[in-house]
Amino acid sequence: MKKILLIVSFLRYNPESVEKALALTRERDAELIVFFVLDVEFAEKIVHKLTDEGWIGGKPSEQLYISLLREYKFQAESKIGEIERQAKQVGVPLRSLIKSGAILEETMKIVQVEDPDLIIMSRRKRSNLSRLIFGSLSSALSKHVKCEVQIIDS
Amino acid sequence: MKRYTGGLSRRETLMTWSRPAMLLLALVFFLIIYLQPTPEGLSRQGLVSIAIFVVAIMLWVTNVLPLMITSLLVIILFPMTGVLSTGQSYALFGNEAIFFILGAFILASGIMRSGLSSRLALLTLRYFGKSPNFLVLTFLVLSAFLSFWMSEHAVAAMMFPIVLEVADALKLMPGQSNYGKALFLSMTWGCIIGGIATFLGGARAPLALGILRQTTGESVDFLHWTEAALPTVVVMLVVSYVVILRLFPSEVQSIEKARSALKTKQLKLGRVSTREKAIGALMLATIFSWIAFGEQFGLANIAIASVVVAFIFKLLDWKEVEEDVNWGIFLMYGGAICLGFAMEMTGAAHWLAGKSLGMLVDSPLGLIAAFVVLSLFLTEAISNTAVVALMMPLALGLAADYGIDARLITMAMTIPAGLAFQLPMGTPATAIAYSSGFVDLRDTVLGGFVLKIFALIVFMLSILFYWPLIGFHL
Repeated sequence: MKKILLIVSFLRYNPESVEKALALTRERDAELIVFFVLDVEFAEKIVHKLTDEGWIGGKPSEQLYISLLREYKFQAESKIGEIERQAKQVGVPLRSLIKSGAILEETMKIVQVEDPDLIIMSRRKRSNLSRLIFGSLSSALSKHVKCEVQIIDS
Repeated sequence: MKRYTGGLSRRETLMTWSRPAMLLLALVFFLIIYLQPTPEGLSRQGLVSIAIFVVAIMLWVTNVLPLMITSLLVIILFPMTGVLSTGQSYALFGNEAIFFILGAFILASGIMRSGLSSRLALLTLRYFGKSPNFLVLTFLVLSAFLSFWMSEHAVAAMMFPIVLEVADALKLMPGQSNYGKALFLSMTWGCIIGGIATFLGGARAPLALGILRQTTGESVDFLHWTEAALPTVVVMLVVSYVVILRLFPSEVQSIEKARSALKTKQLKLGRVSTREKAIGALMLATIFSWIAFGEQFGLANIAIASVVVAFIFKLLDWKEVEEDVNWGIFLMYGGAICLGFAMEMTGAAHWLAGKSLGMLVDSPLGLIAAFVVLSLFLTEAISNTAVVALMMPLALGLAADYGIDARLITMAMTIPAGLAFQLPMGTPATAIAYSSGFVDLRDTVLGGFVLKIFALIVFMLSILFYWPLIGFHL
């Protein structure tokens, strides 16, 4: 059976990419894997900034970090629940996974394990300059995988 | 498939190279200025102070080193280059401002650990937050009020889980819910606005006063500072509320679920403990003493006395204090005060200010306006403490030339430095709201810009028409 991997993260969620993934899964009679990455790097950066610039102490920073992660997990679960409901309505088989870590690293790990035929992900709207300077997950991913990668712009 | 080996992304490569490049650049700038022949009107020590000042600006602005490490570098550079003696340089750590903020941070730890701050927050939210818009107003005013008495960053960190709880109870979607944006921005902007009202809301005011006292011997007392800032705080809270409601009209009709979540959270706290009551009473007594006896006994002495009392009655636990206070901030202050002192003592501040802003503006009002604008906008990009540390020497350097009261220019420069409404790098309160996913950059940039323009107008009007009434004449 063919596999379609839908990559979702806290900052990369677009209902259009979900609809596209469900439609293609049905059309290709494939299995849909929804992979939600809890992008802890983002929370780490915020907390690091707080302590590094001397704003608040270690304990309040740690509590803030825990709150952030709890919120990310809550959002991840509710979004996956929503996708599962949509998938059930259209009769698409679905597996969901949640991992925390850096989005590119975690995605590459799952790609190596699952070996999908198609990857679908959304891309946040950013300027070309920003992509040039800071790089882009979608282009980095396209470079490292052999399968088709479809990018849905938010 | 090309194997992914975890190589560096373009951004990581850029960051890896930018750090040593910036350090090298700072060294090059230092050497260029250091090796220059001494210009007319400036002493050799003054020139070296400017070289150190430039290094500090580069490192504080770019953050390639933690702020406190740059401060330590400043402290050793002065004796090593012969500008200050080793004893003078290290002695500046003993400044009263540092001990005042140390006391205030330790007391804030007690307020947080006893659960008093959370209880006050939950009680107020339950009592006043009865409709969607009233809840937004309550978050705004409550965050501001708490930031009068505790560091605004600590208030933001404490309020964040409560706002999240409300957002989750109402099933608001991050990035999509207008009401979610309104809640997080009311918390953020409330903390920012409230943080400028007293000496306790942020590190800026004590630092500025430390530099002012060290260089001119003058000071501003607790009550006068609050009197000067309060009209701006009140007007800006009203403006923020209107801006939030206009930009993010609520899609939520009922907040019953949120009220019930807040009630559950409040019930979990149980009855008011003896520790909470005692810490509350001690804090009230401390604030009263700062206002009534601040000039007589010194703000730092009162703060430290309260800390001692808290330990005598076992209201504070040293382990908790150690975990809650960010000790690095005191190193940052020490370096900033040392820099300000050396710049003033060697005449470098006066010379540099005359060659920069002094050449562009020719009236006291123009100079004040220039400092207000610079402070308001610089604070978006760099830490507001760094803004004060960098601009205070220049402000004091020019104040005498223009016949401006040094206390007035200190407040005119320091109060707006706290108003970083727009970018997450400006203040942690914005960074915290941004991290929730409910607020994006566009929201803070747009709404923050409107607030910034209002803040500029309100603050300038306050300086022109209100400050003379309380004894600060232009």
